[in-house]
Amino acid sequence: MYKATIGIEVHAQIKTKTKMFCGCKVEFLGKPNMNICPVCMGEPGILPRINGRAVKLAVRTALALHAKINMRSIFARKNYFYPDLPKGYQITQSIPLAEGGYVEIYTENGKKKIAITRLHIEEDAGKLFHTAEGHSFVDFNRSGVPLMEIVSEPVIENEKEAVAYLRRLRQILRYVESSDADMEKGQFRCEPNISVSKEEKRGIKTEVKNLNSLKAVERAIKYEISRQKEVIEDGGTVIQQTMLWDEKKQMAIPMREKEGVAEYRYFKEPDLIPLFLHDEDIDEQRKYIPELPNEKFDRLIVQYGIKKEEAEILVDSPDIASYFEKSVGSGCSPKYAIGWITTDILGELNKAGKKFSHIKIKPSHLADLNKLIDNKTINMNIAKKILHSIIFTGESVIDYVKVNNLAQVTDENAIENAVKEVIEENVKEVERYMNGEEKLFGFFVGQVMKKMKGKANPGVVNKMLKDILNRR
Amino acid sequence: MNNKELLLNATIEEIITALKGGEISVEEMVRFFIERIKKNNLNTFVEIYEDEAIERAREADRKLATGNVHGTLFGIPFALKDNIAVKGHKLTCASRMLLDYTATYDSTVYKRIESEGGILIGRTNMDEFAMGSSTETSFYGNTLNPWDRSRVPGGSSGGSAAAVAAREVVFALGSDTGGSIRQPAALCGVTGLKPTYGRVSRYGLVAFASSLDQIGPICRSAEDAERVFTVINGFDERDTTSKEVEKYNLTDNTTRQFKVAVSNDLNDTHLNPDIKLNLLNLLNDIKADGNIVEEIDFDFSKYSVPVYQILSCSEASSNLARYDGIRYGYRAEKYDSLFDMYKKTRGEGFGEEVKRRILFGTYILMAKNSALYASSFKVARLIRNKLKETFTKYDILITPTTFNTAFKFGEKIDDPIQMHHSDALTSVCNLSGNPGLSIPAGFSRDGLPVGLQIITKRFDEKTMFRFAKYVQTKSDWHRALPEE
Repeated sequence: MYKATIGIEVHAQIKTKTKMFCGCKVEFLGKPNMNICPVCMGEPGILPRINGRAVKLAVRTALALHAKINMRSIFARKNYFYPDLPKGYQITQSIPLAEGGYVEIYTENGKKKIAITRLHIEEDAGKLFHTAEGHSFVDFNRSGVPLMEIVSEPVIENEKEAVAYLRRLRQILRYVESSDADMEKGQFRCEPNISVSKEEKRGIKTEVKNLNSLKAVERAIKYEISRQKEVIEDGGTVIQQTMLWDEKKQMAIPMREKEGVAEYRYFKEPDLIPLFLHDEDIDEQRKYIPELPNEKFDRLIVQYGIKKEEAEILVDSPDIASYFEKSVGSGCSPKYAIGWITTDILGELNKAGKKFSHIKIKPSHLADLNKLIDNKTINMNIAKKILHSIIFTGESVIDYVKVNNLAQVTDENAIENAVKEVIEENVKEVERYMNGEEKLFGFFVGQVMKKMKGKANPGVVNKMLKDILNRR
Repeated sequence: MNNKELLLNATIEEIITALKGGEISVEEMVRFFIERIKKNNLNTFVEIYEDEAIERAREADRKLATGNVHGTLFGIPFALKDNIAVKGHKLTCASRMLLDYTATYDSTVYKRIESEGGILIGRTNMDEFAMGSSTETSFYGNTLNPWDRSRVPGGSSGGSAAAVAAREVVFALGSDTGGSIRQPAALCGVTGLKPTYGRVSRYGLVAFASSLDQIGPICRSAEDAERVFTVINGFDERDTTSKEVEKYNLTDNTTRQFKVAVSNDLNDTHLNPDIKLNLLNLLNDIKADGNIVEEIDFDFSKYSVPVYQILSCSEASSNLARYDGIRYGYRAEKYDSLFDMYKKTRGEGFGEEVKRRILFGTYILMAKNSALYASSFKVARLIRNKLKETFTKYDILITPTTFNTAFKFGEKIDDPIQMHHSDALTSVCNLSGNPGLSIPAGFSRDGLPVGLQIITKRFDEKTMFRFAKYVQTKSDWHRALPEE
């Protein structure tokens, strides 16, 4: 049996107004080199200054990851040459802000803790653009933007666990508001290290870059595991290298060979004194930690009896979760509420290409619909019709029912008349039904409902149809 | 004092008094010094900001006329080493790499001096990126020692020291990573201070070795050096390594008794006998005044040079990585690829000494050599502890500033080991963070200045200046002028 071992490095952009070591705005409005200064351009004689807000948000994140925070951390330089790196080195940390901790995920075999190795602060590089004519341009707007690097232990076993880990981690960053973690915007970059082995001893790992969505992460890991297996099966050895995921070709392409460990000539950053934290700094951040995704997940399931997949949707979007809880709070049954929200409202939003914040329908509307079903004023189908109609208008449910005359008909005489008419109009079908073609019963129900404009009480219709047909 | 005597010999305080008394105008003074720079032709300045300086001088004169005179350095002409940033002016570090680079911001020290009324005359010559002890590695050519034009002024702040010695400016700022203020000050017969590490903001000083670099004044006297120091010292939020210490105020001139330790470097066989003789005479005078003078074993100068080379070059290799031809500065004309561009740009843009140090530093920082780097830190800490211990018993530690007086051009430039040895007695302070002051202490038989180095505990520049001012009362060496 082959066993895959995966560790993931995540670079998350810390949500600050200004850069890590200077006062330039963190803003990407399309124009290159708008938010730059001598510091983030690496001009001669400049010195970095630490952005306190970035440190606070990193501390908050470390707390949410249950990590041990180092009261003294050290900045260091990672030296290499590249045009997007203005100083010829990146300021990172040699003693990280935090170590240890974990993210809990749900696997097919139950809960699993993915251990975190460390969380440290560093600065981002600029961006390179290449033209068809062979010119290259550098945009330094991103140069010096604060990042948290979060490194997991190599304890992830397959692509599903990897995605579950990343999804949960991203949720945590959003919950504590330390990062928007939008993968498309490059605010949450994942670099998995993957190795495959038959034995206890771990195999040689490759690193995959250029993963712009969780889907890409999933596919790339799956691809890389099977590629490495094949190499080993064919009697070859995996080469330690960095691969680039090609989304079009759906394959990972080798980028450069790593000769053992790259030589980054790390040393302590002499322009910055050590970063000292105090208990008060940490306690202050503890106040900003809300109910975390896992706690929420467990609670939603226990409190509302909803399914895991449903709870996952709510955990992923705290605003939807809050909407759900409010609608239950105003009297809607959790079962109805979760169905209407996840199937009907989200489905409609998806179709319209809109966001959850665009809806006008209120949690109390769902409770109103539930009430009308319970007192038999409307049936489920009508309820759904109303729901779909008022998502973007937020009209009152009661008014809508009145105006559109949707109240359910339970008057047995009216239903009896309709049933009789249907039987008279469908002589052939009735004959076939009598000859044992029982599935035609549904057809009669449909015809009756059509006549009643969907407003008939389905229970009464069923009963009436059965009685009359059986009497024949 | 006539005006010429005043401008050549007075202290800053005396000059400001004369300005206020209407004895001379700021414009006259500025013109006087600029004329001297041109006439002396020592290649001390790489650029003179003549129009700007005269404009500022006139502005100062208008203030004088209305009695609106403020500032510790009001109207005083000064120079900056070519590695200290002034917005809108070239900042080249005497390197081909930065010949066309114009600073886009002001250094903290410049802002502080400007707000106290100082008038910037120009930028001074230096060893390329402050790497050297003779100013011979400058892209702009040699600066001549005013005491002997066939000799070096020392370095790397050779232009600043020679300019002050030749009275082309009242004071100048230099930078000191291993002795770059004190060694040229000694070789040119002027007073040069390397403050305690962290006491003066490095913001706007082009970094050579960040953990050792300090900006400091080069002046005619201890009084002037102290005055300039009061202006430039103090915490700066732009430099996190700068320290929040008590605001430095000028000390009084009351003489007091000092406990003086003398380093046994004075008995080193490499020490020029003329330097030894001058220092021994001086020590005898001090002893005669009732001060305690004791020789102590302080033989760290043996280790300071290799340790200093390892630490400074390591940091330099990283600090100078930004000169890559991408955003500013020199870029090779022809290249085949990105990495070819890097190689050619840095190969052509940097001089030999700079490249030698970058290569050495790059080698040291490689993971396999981390032990060398780590043990150098340990030695630096030992030096620091030894000094700390010394200052539990003594107020002052005295050493010669250099083993030798100014050497001839070309004498050491092809022998880097010899040249690096020039830092032996001064780099101790950079490694430990302690302040060091070099003051004139006589002349050799061939008429070359001799320097005395005064070291005190960290952040104790007060005792240092008290002692220096006391030593100055023993002689007129700091007033001696080279022949014109």
